[in-house]
Amino acid sequence: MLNTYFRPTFAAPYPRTQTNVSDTTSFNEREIIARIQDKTTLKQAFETIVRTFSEQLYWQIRRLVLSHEDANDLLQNTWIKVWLNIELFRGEAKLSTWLYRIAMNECLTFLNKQRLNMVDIDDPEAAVAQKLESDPYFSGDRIQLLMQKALLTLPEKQRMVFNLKYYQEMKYEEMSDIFGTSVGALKASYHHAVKKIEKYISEAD
Amino acid sequence: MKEEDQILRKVGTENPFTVPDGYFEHLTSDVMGHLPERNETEILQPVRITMWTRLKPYIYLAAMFVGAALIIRIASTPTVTPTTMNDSIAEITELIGGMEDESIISDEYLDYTINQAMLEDYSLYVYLSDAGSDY
Repeated sequence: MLNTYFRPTFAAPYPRTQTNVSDTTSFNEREIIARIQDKTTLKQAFETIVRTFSEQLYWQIRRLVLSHEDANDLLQNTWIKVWLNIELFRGEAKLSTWLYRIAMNECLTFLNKQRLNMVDIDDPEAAVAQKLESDPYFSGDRIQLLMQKALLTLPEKQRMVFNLKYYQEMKYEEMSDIFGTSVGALKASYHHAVKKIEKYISEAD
Repeated sequence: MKEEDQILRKVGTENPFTVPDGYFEHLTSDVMGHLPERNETEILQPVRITMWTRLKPYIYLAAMFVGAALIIRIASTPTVTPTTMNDSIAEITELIGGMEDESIISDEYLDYTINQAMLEDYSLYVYLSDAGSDY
């Protein structure tokens, strides 16, 4: 049996469903940072962070790399990097921002390597889409598959911006902290992505 | 945005991806089980900075200045000490003292004076011998 994780959070006209992110309202970031500094409570505090953020990080990674196995590997690598560098986090930015930054960098490295490995393939987007169609952990219909194909035509960073804004409704300011890019540039990037996707879907539909 | 509304209407935001059964239930323990050992001594123990470590560069700098000042002082000190200088003046005075006529200066006196003055300046010779008056 397969699990799907939806959580309707937004009102009409087009209610956006969101992945079932863990409840972060009870998460006291200041307390967690204090526990990280103490080596006797470090591992316990880290486990709390993993429990709180794993699911939302997984879905962001998954939307970029598409395959569950790749997403799982990248998530594990992300947590290992966080674990080894946790003492570098001083609380200047939000913990979630720092985690997203590490996860997105992991994804970018992976996608760049993947692109290099697919140089010999004539139509890499079509190949990825074909792989997605046969993926047992993809349950989307025709229009959702079309959406994934449209997303594959975008540059990696633009795809990241689109996913964070469209599916998670992340604020541009927070995205700016993650990518180190200005709010204006992010807005422009999202606008271009939306136009390209809409055009792709309209032409194919 | 018009295009965004169209995407939302056509596609929505439903998640088409799924995960294996029970994946998220075991995810935290799975992640925790794959964590490598941290080098605690290296990471968690801060390097102790002693007073000596902190003052060392300033002490070295001060020592360097003292050394440089000593070298300059030694190099600039005259080789003739006050005692030997007094002796020389006494000898010259003795040589001159015997002469009633100051215009007559012996070669012995001139050589001695030049040697003591450590000068080879011809102008000194001219001055002392009054040789320049012929010109």
